[in-house]
Amino acid sequence: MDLQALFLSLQLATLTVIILIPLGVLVAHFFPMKNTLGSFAKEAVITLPLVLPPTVLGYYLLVGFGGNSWFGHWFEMMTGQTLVFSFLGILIASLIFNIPFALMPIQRAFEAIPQDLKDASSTCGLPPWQRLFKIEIPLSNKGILSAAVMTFTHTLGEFGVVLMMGGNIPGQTRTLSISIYDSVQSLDMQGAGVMSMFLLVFSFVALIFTQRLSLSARDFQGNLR
Amino acid sequence: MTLSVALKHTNGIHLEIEFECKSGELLALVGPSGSGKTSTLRAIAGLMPIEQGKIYLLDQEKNHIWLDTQNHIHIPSFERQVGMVFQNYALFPHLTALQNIALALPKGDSIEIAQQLMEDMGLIDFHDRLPDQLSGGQRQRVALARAFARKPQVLLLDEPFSAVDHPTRKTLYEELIKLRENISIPIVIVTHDLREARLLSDRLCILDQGKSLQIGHPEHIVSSPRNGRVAELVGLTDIFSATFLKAQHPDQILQKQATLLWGQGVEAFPLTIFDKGRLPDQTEVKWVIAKEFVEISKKPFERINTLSAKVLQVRRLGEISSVDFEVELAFGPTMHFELSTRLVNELNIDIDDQVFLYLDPKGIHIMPVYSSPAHKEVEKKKRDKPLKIVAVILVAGEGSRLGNLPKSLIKIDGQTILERQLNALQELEIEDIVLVTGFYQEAYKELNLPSNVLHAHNEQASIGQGSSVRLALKTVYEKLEEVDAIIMLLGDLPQVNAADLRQLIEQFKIRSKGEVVMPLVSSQRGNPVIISEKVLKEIVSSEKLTVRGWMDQYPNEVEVWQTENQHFTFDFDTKENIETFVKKTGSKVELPSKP
Repeated sequence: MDLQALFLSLQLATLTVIILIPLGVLVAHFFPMKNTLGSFAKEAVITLPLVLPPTVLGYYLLVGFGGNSWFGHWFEMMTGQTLVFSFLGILIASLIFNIPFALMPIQRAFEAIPQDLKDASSTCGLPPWQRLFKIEIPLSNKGILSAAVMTFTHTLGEFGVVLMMGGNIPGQTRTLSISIYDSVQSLDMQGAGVMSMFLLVFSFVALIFTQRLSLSARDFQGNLR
Repeated sequence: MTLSVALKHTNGIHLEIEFECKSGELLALVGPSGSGKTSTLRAIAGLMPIEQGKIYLLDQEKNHIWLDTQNHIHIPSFERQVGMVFQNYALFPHLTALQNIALALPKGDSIEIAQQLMEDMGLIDFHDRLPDQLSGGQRQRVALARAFARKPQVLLLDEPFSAVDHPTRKTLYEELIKLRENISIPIVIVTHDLREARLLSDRLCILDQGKSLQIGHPEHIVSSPRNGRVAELVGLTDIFSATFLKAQHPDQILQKQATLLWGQGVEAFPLTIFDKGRLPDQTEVKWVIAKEFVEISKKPFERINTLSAKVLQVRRLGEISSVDFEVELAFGPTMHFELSTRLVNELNIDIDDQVFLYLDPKGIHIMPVYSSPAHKEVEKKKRDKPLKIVAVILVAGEGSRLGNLPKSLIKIDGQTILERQLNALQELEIEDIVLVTGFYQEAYKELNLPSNVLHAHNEQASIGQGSSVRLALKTVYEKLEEVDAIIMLLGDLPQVNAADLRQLIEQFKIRSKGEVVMPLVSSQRGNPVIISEKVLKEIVSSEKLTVRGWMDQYPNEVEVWQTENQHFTFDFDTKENIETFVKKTGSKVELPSKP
């Protein structure tokens, strides 16, 4: 078992969750789903990483953040290091790749809050920020938690986009799933087996957990209406 | 403090609302679903953007402006001091009853105020319960306490009693009535239940299609609704149609009397009423009568406004009995009464008995027929569209039941039915006329028909009317161009006049569906019908179809026009028929000589 890779994966997953979940909450609060073209476009952008092949996403990230791009160039000038083939690079890739997993459950949970409750918070004198913290977040906590679990699990398992953006640098960009690939390449089937089993069990447990959450979320809606 | 509201909104939800509500007053917004009640409430609370409007809170010390679109003032909802109770209470499910109330407290108020409010509402032992652990009535009290916790300047209640059972509702009514004694802010309540509104409110505002139709004291609105729609909305039964006629006779003018022509045509019954000078002559109106102004007796009254009626139904419900009468007029209107059972026993009435009703002119309330401005606009557009209309007159029949004679040549007061019909068409400027003859062709040839009348002769008239109809339409199709509609006029309708035909054409113009408009006089099919050019084409291009056949085949395409006008059904079919006609109208009828 490549412990360094496991640790790197956990680090990457934790950071992704910490950054993406609050972002998801803000998006859900400030851009609620409406029946407008802009809203549909937003939904499409959010869902896009889900349907695109990781290689396509990886390609565009390389083009967009590589040393030849203006952003990559500027970043290198400012910090003296490249985005590509660095931990920061795979973090950015991971953030983008996980947008649907983080945002969609939160979005759905916010939508499930009846309009009446939002209205009631206004007539109770709560400004939008207080409404977010006192009403919307507590009422969508299950959706938020489920988004966090999904994002975390998905980051542990992501492969293609990380490989394209980060390559395979031990301690820097070699995550657990890349380590599995590496082990198989070097015919270390036992090592690959242990790590695969770990990811399999972890993902399975995480899915049981989110299923349980989504079921109780349905109950909660049913009770309200 | 007075809440003053004026709203105008057209996008999506249509609103045109104006009202005021004073401190301590309870104003009920009443109307059917979709009438804009809840939207109005939401607009006051600031939960709905409004295109044009003003919401002011006028106070002796300080005026608050919540909304003034002209001056671009829009105070957000959370800064308006409103207490709102939502239809399903909208309690926050993750907070306890006490927390729900405490959430609405203004900054700096201590939790004890929330506890006190709960105590006032009789909710002492429920502090730590979550909303779904409370009963409907308890939830309602928590919602009300939460509304008060905000220290509101206006209290808004959106159908607050619709989600609780009947006994609880009664207790809650009493509580609200008590509560009102202690607070003096404007209260606006939305309800669709008129009884509830009458019980609780000081004033009613009747809404329909986003418009406030009438505002006033509940009893006043019920006794004198401004128009037919209001009468319907406040649940008045026995609303009748009539024509208002201003007095012609000097005596009548002096006594400020007018005539209400109940029903249409020869069967109409003239009622005497008082003229308040608000309506012009010949206005189409709806009328109601407050039932305390009706006298009932088994002997006829020697007075005006006396009608004979038949008892349809007597239902004894304890102290009160419900009695239905059918007034003996041709269109058979029914009147419903709630009488004391004692009176019913004294009158000794039972089903099928004949009684006499005296309608006191003082109790008759008339109102113009209401239609919304948007609706009026659409109808006007449709009406203004010029149509090329052709009339087909069918005189091919044998008139066998009258003893074989051309029925359309029967003379009424010296003029044949055909002449009368041609005159009516001329009055309407319908120039294109097709006359289809069959039997008695010679008799029609002798007439000096105007040159614009196209004459078609059906050799096979004996097969039946269908063949004449097809011939007529074929003639229209072949000889006339750009026809929009065709009136199918039977040659033996003695009473149909220009006004009737004009109404029929109007109905055709404003029809919402279908290609045929047919008058229906108390469930009897009337004549003439008017058909569109599309039906004409379909009938002409088919083998056998007739107008009746087409109507039977496509019942969804037929728009029925409900009317009480007997002209559309009355024809000279038998000798008795003619006799009654003579008796009723006093006209002179001459049969043509047999050919």
